[in-house]
Amino acid sequence: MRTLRSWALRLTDLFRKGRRDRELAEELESHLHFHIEDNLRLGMSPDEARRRALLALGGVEQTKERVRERRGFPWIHDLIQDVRFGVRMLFRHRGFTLVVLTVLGCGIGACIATFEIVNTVLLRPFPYHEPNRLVMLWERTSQEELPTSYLNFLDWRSRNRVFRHMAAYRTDDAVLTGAGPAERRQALVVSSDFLATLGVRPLLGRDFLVEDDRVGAEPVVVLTHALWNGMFHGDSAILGQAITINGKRAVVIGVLPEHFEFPAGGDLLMPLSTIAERLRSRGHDTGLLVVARLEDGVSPERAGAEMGSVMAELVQSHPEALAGRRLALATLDDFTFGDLPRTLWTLMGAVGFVLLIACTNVANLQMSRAASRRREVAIRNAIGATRGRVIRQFLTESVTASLVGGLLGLGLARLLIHALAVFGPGNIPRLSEVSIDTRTLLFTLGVSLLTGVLYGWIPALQMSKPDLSSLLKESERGSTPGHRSLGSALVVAEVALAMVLLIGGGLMIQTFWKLRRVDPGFVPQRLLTLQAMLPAREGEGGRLRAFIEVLRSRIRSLPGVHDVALSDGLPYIGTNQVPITLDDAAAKSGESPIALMYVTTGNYFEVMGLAVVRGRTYSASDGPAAPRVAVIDEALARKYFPGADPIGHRLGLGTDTPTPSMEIVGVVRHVKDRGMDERAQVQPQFYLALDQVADDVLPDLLGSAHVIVRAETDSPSLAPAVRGALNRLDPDMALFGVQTLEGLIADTMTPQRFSLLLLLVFGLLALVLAVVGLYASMAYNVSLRRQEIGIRMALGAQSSDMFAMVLRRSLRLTGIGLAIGAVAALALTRFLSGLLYGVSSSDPRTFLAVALLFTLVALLATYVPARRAACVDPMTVLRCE
Amino acid sequence: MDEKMEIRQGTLALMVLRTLESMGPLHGYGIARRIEQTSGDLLSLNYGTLYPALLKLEQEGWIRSEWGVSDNNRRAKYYRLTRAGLRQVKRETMEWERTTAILARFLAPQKGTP
Repeated sequence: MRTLRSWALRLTDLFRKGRRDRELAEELESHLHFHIEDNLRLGMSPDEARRRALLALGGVEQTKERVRERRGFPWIHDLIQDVRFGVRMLFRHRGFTLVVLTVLGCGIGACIATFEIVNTVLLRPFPYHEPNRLVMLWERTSQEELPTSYLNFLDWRSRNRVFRHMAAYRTDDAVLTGAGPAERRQALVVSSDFLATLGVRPLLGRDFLVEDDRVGAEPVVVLTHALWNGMFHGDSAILGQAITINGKRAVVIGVLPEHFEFPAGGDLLMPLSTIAERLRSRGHDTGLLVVARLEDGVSPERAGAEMGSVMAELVQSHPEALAGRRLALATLDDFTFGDLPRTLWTLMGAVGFVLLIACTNVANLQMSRAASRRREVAIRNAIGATRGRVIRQFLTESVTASLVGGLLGLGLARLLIHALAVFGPGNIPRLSEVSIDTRTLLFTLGVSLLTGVLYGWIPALQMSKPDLSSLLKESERGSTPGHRSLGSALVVAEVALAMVLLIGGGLMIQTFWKLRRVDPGFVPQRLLTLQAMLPAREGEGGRLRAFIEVLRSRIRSLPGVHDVALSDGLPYIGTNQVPITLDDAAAKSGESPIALMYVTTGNYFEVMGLAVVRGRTYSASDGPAAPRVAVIDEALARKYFPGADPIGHRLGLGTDTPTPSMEIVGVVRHVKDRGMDERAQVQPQFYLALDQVADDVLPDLLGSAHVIVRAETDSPSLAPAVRGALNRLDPDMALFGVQTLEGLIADTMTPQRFSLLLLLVFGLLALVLAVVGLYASMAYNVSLRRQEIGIRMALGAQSSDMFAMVLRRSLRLTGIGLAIGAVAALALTRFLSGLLYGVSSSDPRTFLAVALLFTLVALLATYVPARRAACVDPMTVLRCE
Repeated sequence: MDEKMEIRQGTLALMVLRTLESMGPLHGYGIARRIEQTSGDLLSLNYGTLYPALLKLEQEGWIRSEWGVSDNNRRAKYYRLTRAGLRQVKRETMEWERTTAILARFLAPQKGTP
């Protein structure tokens, strides 16, 4: 209560300055009046009475000033003064300021960037009802993770007793036409209780109903808020209207709330009934994932156990389709983020550590300037500044610098996040949503303040000592060896840390280099590809076939085009993964074989530059009426026909076919269609002739076809011409995904590129820190040893000796740091080996190169302090004694 | 001892509070005069230092001020003790007495020790 009143009084003092001044003037006037009256009563003359009264008061104006100083918050006054002074000091010592701001900006920036990611990705729960009660279900074999089928989902749902709601979904391309140019978006194709499971209600319109799940129901669609706002201008009249998705009409029945998000993405929701024809098999021709809400009191573990036995029953009753399958279950958080939380928190800790190192560096740097500020502190003390006041002023200075550093850091963090979004691995959920919010700003402010106090504290305490010269002498006599050895240990640690990171970066650079030279199995140069939504309507397979022929001849006639092929899938983008049957007895062991299927025109192999290893590819003579043929790749041949000639054997689609229908006529090279580094999983591939695919399957298979163009000279420049030709052929045909095969291959190296970026960024940051640390430590050392150096030189030592002495000391520290760093790198780069390619994690050339680079940089950093040592004038030093 | 003593730092506040406690509401000049009289005119009070001290006490919440009219019909600012101020006087008086008692022992002529 008392303090409250006091604050209120101070605050009104601040804002009612004029009135307070008038009151004070009146009060003093009445004071004088009383005094003068008393004096007159004592018998003084009026003049004398007035003079005495004024004298006793000690001057009206002085008194007013003294009262004014006490009003409001006097420390605010001091603070403003200190900040002004701090900024002036920062401007005066530009070089010093630049180094300090760089180091602080880097340290704080890395901290902020990491915090922003943690904040956005981890600290914000999913916008669903009780999101921690949601789990994900899928299937796995001993080798891989698999989505489930619609039939399995239905059985899971009817047989379980542990879930309140259960919904299946998959993501599909959705090409929207009719409203301006065709746009490719992502559809979440869901079972009708999807939104009910998440506990989300549409903002407008209605949720899906059970009727929407029936095969043959009228196609409907629910839009996300973003899509509704963007493409349909937020017009609620869209409800009840039909839009065109993948060439089919669907009625808009609802719009989702603005904050809705789903880890798998999705711009619109459609019921599974719209793809009913692809959901008939228990195998996994059209994979689904399942999200479910746990019944009250059921733990994820219990649900996992119970669903595991449900799955086991299913496998027993459908052995041909589900052999070797087991159930997989994880909470939505674990499924979405996996190891990310641990990684991010570790990163946060590491970045905090880096900031700490940065602080110590700057503190060291500050100390090395102690001598130059000796006079300033002495003068301040002489004119009556208390030690506390001097400390406060030094701290204000360091906090001012750290706040500016924080601002720089905020900018740097934006850059880092942007780089992460561009070069990142693309599997960090919500990264696109990272933005500066209040929490980030508060964090920045907090970290900056803390940093300023942290690095400013020790120098402030030391430099504010009333007799600084004695401090310097003390240090000269080596009475604080603790500080010096601590500083040295720090420099060694910094060098070691930077060494480890830079070696990691060096290894990644070589990996990158090697990966670019890997033979992908075909000739990616001069290949241009795009996806086209062919006018494929059900039951019109014959017309589609004719359309494809026209399309190919139009493109082939373009100047600069060598040849053009069509395919249902493409390496790096994807194709159908299907179960197959082989006639060979050896292939029937264990799990049912699965392979990637490409349905292509006959010239696909020539266009792609895919070499034939054995036998032949299909040609014009393998028409619809001819016996059906298949071409397999080396991987399939190796896996299922080891040591035998696969040619003449038979291959069938699916597991339900009693006799495999196709004859294997050729073997081609394996295409590294997941990326250049295929150690993890080689998936067998096989090819079928487009001409031999039945008319009724064709529209579904080629709804979105890949057009692959081999150019005579240069592929990217052909894109507009190809686009133009296709537009003239059918203006309604949606075209997207125009890319070169070389570009697609480059995209597969994203994980390596990302690690490279991270390692280089942090490696350079560590290098900067180590160099500043080395410089600061040497400079401090030289400033402490000026006298010793002076005496040595007076006794006959040469400048060059002093120069060499400093260099030796610096190189010794660097050397120890490099040795420790090399050992640590040997131990740590093992963890990188999963990302490395064609280079050993203990590659001696990389180690040597980094060590050399470091030694060079260390020499540069030591040059200035060493020069300073060499330039000490013995006379000046001795005279100071 | 012809010269008057300067007031020690920190003691002025207590003197003001005590004065207000015994005399009731007073204006600035009245407080100053009263302090001088109580000291038997041994203290020399620089009146100019009184006003910042009064402001500080008011900020602490121990006294309050309001405008009033003096005996000879002059407008003046009157200060009076608040309840918190009263407690503060008691507390500070006690502390002061203890301090002076301890100091007195140190200042008393030492016996027994060389």
